[in-house]
Amino acid sequence: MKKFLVRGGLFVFILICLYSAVIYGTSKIKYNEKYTIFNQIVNNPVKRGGATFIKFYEATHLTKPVDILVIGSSRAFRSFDPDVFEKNNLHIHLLATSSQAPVNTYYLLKEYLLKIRPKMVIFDVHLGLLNSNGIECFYDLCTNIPVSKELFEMALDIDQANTYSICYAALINQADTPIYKGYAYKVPKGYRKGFLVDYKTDSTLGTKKIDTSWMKKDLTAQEIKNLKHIDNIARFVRSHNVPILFTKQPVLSREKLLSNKKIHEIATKYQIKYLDLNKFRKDLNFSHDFYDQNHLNTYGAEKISEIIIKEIQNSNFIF
Amino acid sequence: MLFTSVKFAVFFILLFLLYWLLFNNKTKTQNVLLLVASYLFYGFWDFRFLGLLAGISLLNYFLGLAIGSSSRRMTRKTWLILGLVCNIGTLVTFKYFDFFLPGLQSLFSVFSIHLNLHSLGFIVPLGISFYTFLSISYIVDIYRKKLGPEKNVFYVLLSLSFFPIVLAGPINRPVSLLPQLKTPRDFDPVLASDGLRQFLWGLAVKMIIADNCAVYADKTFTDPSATGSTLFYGALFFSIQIYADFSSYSDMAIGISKLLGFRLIRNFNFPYFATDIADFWRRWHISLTTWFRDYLFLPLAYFLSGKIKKQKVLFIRSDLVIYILSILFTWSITGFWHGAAWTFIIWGLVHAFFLVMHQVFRKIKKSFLARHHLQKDLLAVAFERFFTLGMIVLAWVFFRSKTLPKAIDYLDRTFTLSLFSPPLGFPTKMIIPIFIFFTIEWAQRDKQHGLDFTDAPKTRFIRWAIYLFILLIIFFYQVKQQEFIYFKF
Repeated sequence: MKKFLVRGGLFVFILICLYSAVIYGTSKIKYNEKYTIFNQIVNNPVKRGGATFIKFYEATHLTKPVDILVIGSSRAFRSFDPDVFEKNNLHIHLLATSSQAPVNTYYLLKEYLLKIRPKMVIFDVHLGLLNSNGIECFYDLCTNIPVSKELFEMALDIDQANTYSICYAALINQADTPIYKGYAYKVPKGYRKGFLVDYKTDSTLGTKKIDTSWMKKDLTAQEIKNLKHIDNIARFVRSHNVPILFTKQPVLSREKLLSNKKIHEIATKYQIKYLDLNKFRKDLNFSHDFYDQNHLNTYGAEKISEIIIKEIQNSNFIF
Repeated sequence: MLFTSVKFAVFFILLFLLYWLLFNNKTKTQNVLLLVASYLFYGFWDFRFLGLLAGISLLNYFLGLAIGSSSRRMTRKTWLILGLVCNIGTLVTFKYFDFFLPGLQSLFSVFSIHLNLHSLGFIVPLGISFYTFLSISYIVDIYRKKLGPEKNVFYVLLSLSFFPIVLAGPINRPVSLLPQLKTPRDFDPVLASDGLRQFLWGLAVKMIIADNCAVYADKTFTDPSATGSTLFYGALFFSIQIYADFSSYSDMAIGISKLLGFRLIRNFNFPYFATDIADFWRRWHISLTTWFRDYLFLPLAYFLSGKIKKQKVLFIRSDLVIYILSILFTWSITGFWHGAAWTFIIWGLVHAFFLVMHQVFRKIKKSFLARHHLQKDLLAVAFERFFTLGMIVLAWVFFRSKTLPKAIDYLDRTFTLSLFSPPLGFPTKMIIPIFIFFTIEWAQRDKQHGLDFTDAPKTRFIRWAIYLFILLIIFFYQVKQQEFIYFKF
């Protein structure tokens, strides 16, 4: 037994050394101009849009207190226009990232709610992403934000082998070169406070037949897991006495009825307002206000932001 | 807590150290630890059904005692029937009630009786099909006097909830597990090392092959516009996925058991290398097929042979008629065991048809091969293997499809001219891993598993290099972790 354990220990030690060496080596050697071999072998989509790096950099280098923190997926960072909010004296910052599933949102809030200390949180729900295990967003975060305890917790929650590899790679690389070290602040084109300015339209959306009916399917295990995280998000934010609003963006695609019902239940449980913006879809011009079937463009965002602001003002959120 | 998760790794390492370091040579304490671990493991999935698991185990413990203590055949039979009704009744209530409901209502409406029953909306308890089958085999084996009734309730509880097998098999019957639980266990480094290797093989197959194949298979089975060739490869990828997924679970379960000093029944024997459909079923989910053989097929065939006295029935030999009837019944039940849907029943019946055809043409095929000296011809054997694989892949379409019309539509869209066009979105990166996987399986086909190095003259350096390489691939290659398919059953 003793011999077996000693051999096992030796094997694990060699494995850790080799694993670290492979991660460090492949992270340093470039595959092409943009990506390293490591990015390539783990399918790491660092190329994702959403300006993740800058929005988190700004969140940790704030010059002005934030009234509203918006968190969610790409639907959120294409729908909440900070300029419209600013006109109404509301200073918002978006920590929404591509494919951000509730499992990602929960751990991000755990870390950034106390750092940013907003007066209010808006969590934009994406029903389709309830079926995501959050790994896509996790890659994005590991590449663009400093590794933290919460990021490790997120990895443990996702619990998939390559999640640990990505996290470990981020840790090794950031130990070597801290992520914000020597960064010269520069606002990317089409970016403001986490929002992505994009006036692209899809003229076909105005003419083609669009199915926006409800899918009457049962919840998957992944959806149940993510719904638990939405419950955690509500409880966590409320436990810090921060008001929270749930929103859902107008979309031109099918969504799952049961998921929506469950979110209504969570909202009711925590006495949170759930603003389903789909009811304002009729006020939008599909071929002008949508980027694609699932996202608004900046024209649409301006309209929807106005609606959200009115809702916030009518709901007696105090600033 | 999937076997592939870090949570399970932590759970098992703690258990392993306590089991062998603290409680070595203390069989009773080891068993208490195993029972606690088993209930913890099951409760981690859904604690609400722990009561059901314990209830079924206790019920069968008392039924076992009742059957075993009675000397009168009728009394024993009555207890057995009561046990079968309770076990099957539980399974039907939780798993099949909603499936039978519309049928029941229409049946009663024929007699102008309007049943006001509603869907129970039960969640199917994880592993219920497996532990009810273990329970049934326990009481039937006592009835058949293959096994004595267990006096100590503790052993029955453990043999029906043993954590490596409780969720998705292998269906390791109490008749083989109970004696092992009672025997003092010494740490056997050879067995433990082999267990580790088998676990590693299972882990690699699940995470590299099954989970990656699932992505393409899922896409094709839900894409209404996929071309014939895409659908063909989708079915092929699902065939690889389900084999890799389920055999890997069995490998991990057997590996874990070996690490704890137990030897479980082998569940897969490289089934895609089968030369005919009967051979396939001797190699696939062995613990289930032998269960159905021993508790359903053979008793039914025996019963029918007592009832059918004529030499021929409808110009067919009576032994063939008995075989056909028994096969059809057994396979429709086998299909239904997998899930409360017509797709599974049809899948079972498709296999029953293949088996009947095999039985009918077996002698003709044998004499044809002998006449042309093809019994050992490599090409002929390769053709047999591919032909068998083709039949299996075809049947999997019914198994994977959500509904029967969807399965028929899938096959209809596959066999079109677009079958000869290049497949869309084909995952070329999977070609090499799948090729390596089947090459290793082929090379190891006479062994217990892909990393079985028993009697292999490999030095430790080479073996460790192989393990390290596999682990590194696992850490980098997985796309999206999927739950084991057989958890649904």
